[in-house]
Amino acid sequence: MEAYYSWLFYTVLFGLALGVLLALVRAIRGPRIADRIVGINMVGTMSLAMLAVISVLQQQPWLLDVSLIYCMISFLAVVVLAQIHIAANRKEDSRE
Amino acid sequence: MSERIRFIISAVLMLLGLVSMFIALFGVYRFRFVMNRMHCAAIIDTMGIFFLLLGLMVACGRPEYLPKLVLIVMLLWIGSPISSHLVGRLEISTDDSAGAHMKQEDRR
Repeated sequence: MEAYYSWLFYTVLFGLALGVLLALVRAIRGPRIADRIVGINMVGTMSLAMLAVISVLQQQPWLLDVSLIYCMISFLAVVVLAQIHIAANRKEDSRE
Repeated sequence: MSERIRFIISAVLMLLGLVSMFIALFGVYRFRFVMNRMHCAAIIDTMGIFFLLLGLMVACGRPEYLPKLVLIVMLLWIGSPISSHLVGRLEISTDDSAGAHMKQEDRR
């Protein structure tokens, strides 16, 4: 049974890695800044899922703490980037 | 026998999560405007991660994993609407031609 589980986990990890690459391409190609932020958000969520899968595969519960922190940090990154760009745009508008 | 049933349930749930993630990625490539793309990207944050971590909860079978996995899902479900809202506000406030994408089609 262990072998079946590790096959399943490696399959899911492979799919998630492919998804991270596709989301990264979207983040690089995105024409506007909002597209890039959406792509980065997807990369963060999928790498968080990879960390959770690895923690169950390797029987290491502390990796789930890392993925919990990763979740908060990726959320914070999106919020900070969006607020910075909104504020910069507002400043440019008031200067004109 | 019950081991096999548990494996099948967890495999179906995890592959369902993976498939919904790829549907979301397809939607992100398919649509042209950020608001549509945001709608597709939110599938990963809610449905994909929910089914994947539900499959992990069934698969691991040890009680010390469960509260953290539930907490990850809860944090993502709380955080994803806030970040989507902020990205939408960013797009509206920086793009002057955003209103042209959001006109309702006349279907008559």
